[in-house]
Amino acid sequence: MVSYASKVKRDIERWVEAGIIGSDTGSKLAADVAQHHRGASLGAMLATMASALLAASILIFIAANWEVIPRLTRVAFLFLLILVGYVSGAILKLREHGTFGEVAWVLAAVSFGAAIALTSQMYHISGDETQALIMWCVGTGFAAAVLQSRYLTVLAALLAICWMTVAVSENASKATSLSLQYLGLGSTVYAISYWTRSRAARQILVVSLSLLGFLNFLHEPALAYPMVLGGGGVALFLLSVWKPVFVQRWLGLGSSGSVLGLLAFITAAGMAQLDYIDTDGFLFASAAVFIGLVGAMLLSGRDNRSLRWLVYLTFSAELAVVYLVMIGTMLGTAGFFLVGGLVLAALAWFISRFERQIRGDRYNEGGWAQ
Amino acid sequence: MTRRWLIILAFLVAAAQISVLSWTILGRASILRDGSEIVLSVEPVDPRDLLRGDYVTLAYNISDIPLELFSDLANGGSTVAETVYVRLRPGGEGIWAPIAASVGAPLSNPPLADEVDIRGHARVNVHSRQETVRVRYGIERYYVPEGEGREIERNLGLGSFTVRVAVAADGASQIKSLHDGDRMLYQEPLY
Repeated sequence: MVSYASKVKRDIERWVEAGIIGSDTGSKLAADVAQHHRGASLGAMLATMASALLAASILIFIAANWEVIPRLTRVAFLFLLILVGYVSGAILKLREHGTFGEVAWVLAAVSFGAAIALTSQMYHISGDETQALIMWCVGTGFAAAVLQSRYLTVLAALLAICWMTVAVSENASKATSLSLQYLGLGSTVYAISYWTRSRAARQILVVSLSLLGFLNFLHEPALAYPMVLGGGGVALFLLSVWKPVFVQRWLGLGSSGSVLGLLAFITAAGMAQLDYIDTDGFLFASAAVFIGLVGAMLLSGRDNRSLRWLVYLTFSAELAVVYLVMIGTMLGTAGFFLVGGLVLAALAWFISRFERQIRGDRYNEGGWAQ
Repeated sequence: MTRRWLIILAFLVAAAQISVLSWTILGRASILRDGSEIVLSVEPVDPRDLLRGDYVTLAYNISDIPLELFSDLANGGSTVAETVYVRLRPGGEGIWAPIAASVGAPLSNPPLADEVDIRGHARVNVHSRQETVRVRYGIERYYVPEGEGREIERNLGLGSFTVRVAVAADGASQIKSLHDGDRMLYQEPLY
């Protein structure tokens, strides 16, 4: 948001200089922008990074199984960290140090996870990674809901995704029922995220659906997975473009809905390409990706920088993939790119004319208004 | 939320998480304290766990159960992972060996005085041509201080090692100690 705020400020200065608005109005607008788009503070970002490092150090310290400290002392130490973390986080929150409070809560939740791992280590429990992860996830989600914490909601979402990844990739025979369980768990965290106002958690959870589809597809390469995922992605994209208010109200994804939808579509198309890699279907799947990318760019690329970047990156990656897969038939590849290139060039010419026309119309409308 | 409430809630969250952990630890300690003791022979497989430190993977003499011991699999079994119960009795040299097994529920007749039922998980599929069923009991890992895993694993390959395991009434099991012949290498404290 920093870039948006600074861009608007530049524009306001320009308008004031050009005499379009008075300096009084200009400073009022600038103050309003500053108030609503404070952006992430540097201190908050550093504190978040520090919490990740501290969390990792706690987990690795426990993993080292250092015998100099008796294990009961280690357990007591973790219990103390849990208690001090939650309570000091609450105190910091009340003293208006919001981010530091959240960081303290994250450390407490990580200590909870470390204590679960330590218990497994103390009693040589094997084969329960998924159980440990789910216990950690539920404990963290509970804390997030009770304390209304944004960071803990994100942590709970990440743990749910870790659980899903381990559980689904290790149990091919139970993949379907585990996936349904994940949808239940994910929806619960999604619901908590409304209460805790954590849009990041919602975005992460939506992205995880692509991962879920992909893992299931690896077990059983059925075309149904890319169809459902791709269909869902296209639906989310179109809804975000045409009904942004609806998407914001019901899914709470802000302006990221179109990017998330496109991501799901790309993952699905990638799966279809994998499935068809040695057949003619590959060409169709690749064409679908290119058409999807161009379509997304046309519908939403103008106003959405992250979407543009996603399109550029996928476009280049897709070119490389098509080239590598079809390298056996260079002529075929060249032909595909030639046709694609000509179509795009024609499209570009058509669109730039169209855009110029729109600009012209707007200018005229402005003229009448004056 | 008022000042006091947020701090009270923070206390409650901490207390809830600490209670869950304490409950797990007490449950595990009670298996060690009250469970019946059995002796199994053991061979190492391979070590390392990123999150929880070094461990040695262990395979036991009861890790592969002959298919014919599963009395209830005669009518055809399933291909999904299921809970299984294995009845053990002390055999030669004091090592406990399997005598019967069942899928889903414990064996219908209760164990005799010198028998113990241990619970595990297995992927049972009688349609394939396998002659044994691989059962995991949740005691296939032995965590050791960082760096000692490889050495223990080397030694385990040389001698005849045994593990003493505590088995609770519901079949849950817990490693008690690791032995090299008559010499005890590691013993687990209750906590």
